[in-house]
Amino acid sequence: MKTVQKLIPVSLYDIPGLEAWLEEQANQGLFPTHLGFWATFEDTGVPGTRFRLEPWGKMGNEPPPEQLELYRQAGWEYKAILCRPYVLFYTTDPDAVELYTDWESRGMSLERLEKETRIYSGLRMTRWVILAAAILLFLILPRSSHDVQPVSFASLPMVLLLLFHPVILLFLLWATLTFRRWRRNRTALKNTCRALRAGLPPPPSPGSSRAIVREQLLILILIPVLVIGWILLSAETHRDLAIPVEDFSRPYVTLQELEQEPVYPSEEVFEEHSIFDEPENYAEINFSLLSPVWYAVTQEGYSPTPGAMENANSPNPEGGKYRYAPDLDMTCFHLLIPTLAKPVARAQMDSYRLVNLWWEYEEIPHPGLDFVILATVKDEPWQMAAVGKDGKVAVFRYAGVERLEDHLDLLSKMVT
Amino acid sequence: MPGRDKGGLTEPMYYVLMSFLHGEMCGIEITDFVSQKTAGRVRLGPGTLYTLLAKFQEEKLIEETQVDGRKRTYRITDKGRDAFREELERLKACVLDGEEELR
Repeated sequence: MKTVQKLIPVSLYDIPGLEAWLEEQANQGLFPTHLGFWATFEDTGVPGTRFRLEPWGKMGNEPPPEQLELYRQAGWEYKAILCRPYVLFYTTDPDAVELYTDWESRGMSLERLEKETRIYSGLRMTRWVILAAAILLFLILPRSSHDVQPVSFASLPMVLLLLFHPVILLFLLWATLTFRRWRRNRTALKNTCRALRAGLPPPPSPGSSRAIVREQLLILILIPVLVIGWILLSAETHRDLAIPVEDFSRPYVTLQELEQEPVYPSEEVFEEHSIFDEPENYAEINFSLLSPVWYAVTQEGYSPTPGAMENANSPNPEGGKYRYAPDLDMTCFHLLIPTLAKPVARAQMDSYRLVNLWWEYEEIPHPGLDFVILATVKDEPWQMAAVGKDGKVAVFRYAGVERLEDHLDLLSKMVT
Repeated sequence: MPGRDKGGLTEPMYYVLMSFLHGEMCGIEITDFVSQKTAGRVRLGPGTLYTLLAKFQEEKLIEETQVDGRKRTYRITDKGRDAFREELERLKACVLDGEEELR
């Protein structure tokens, strides 16, 4: 027995349209065995077969035996196939009386389906509203209860860049398509029920549509693409895709270029590896259609001399003797819209900001650059700097004995 | 009108409820009764009948009396009888109004 799969070219809630399409398939010798996102047919269809869709029984059960008996006596057979939200009846007898002989009773039979759809729609809308509220709260609320300098909406430019990540854009496309499909279905059912309640025939079906098939196909294709995309995205956030700096070929400012004294990676200074079992010097590549170049480099170095300089930020690997251990984080953007440069720089600085410290920001001029923003913390080794030229932005966070302000020529190489 | 938010009973509702005035009925007996009573003018589809029986039960116009395998038998309740009488009076008034205007 041959099986055939077809995408359904009508709205799932355009009941007359769906029934007519199934009858067309029967005329081509096809009989449905599954109706869902797509339809599966066997080649056992009998031309002239009439199909009628009935809503599922209460709690999604199959039709009760007395209903099946009534229908069977009238010449209608039940086909137990997966076909939410309907069950399927069919007859090959041209004289079999129609299942519904008046519009009002047909309307009554759809009441529960309409109610369930309304409740489902309400839940769906509530879910989106909660999600939107959560995103808004996330943007407004401080990142931590220890945040001494919270800035509402500081991360908005970063959110904008993330929105233009291909996976997010595909997700938004998928969400728009499914929303459109849901709205079309709901409108079709609502209009049908309204007409039937008034004792009128249901509105004429718009019939098969290639646009619906294309939409269904796109939604189906997008699902695996999004799953793979999400896996890759979550791998990025979990540093699974971190690249050791020695294998990273894009330009970046090395920690050693900033330092007067030599510093080395932990594996060269200590025999044991980092206690966190994570790379300390690595790069991460991100992407946005608004910033095709977007990467971050994290570096940490250690003085070969133990206890040479006190630095509360360094680990304490040698029984109480502090070792100078500067670190440098850098994020680089090449933005396609230059006006975004400063807001993105500010947003990146805010994401680098240690929230329990009070930062002082200062904007200073520097030849050849559009802007330089410096941020310092009184009596602390932490500093930040952002430099921008046209659409290129580089943001640095540094903890060490050097002053970033003294190295602006070096930092500006990232954007010129 | 009991069981209806607005307007009277529909024609199939009226005849289905009428069928129970003869006593307990099952689905096929109701269909036959309506067909005979109206000389085939009102045909009851199985979907229509099943939906109306469920609706009448929900509104307590009829109640189930017997389940014999797949066959279920129902009878009219006092509420159902009142609903039928009320509809009958409404229809009589409609007919009288019409006849008066024709004279």
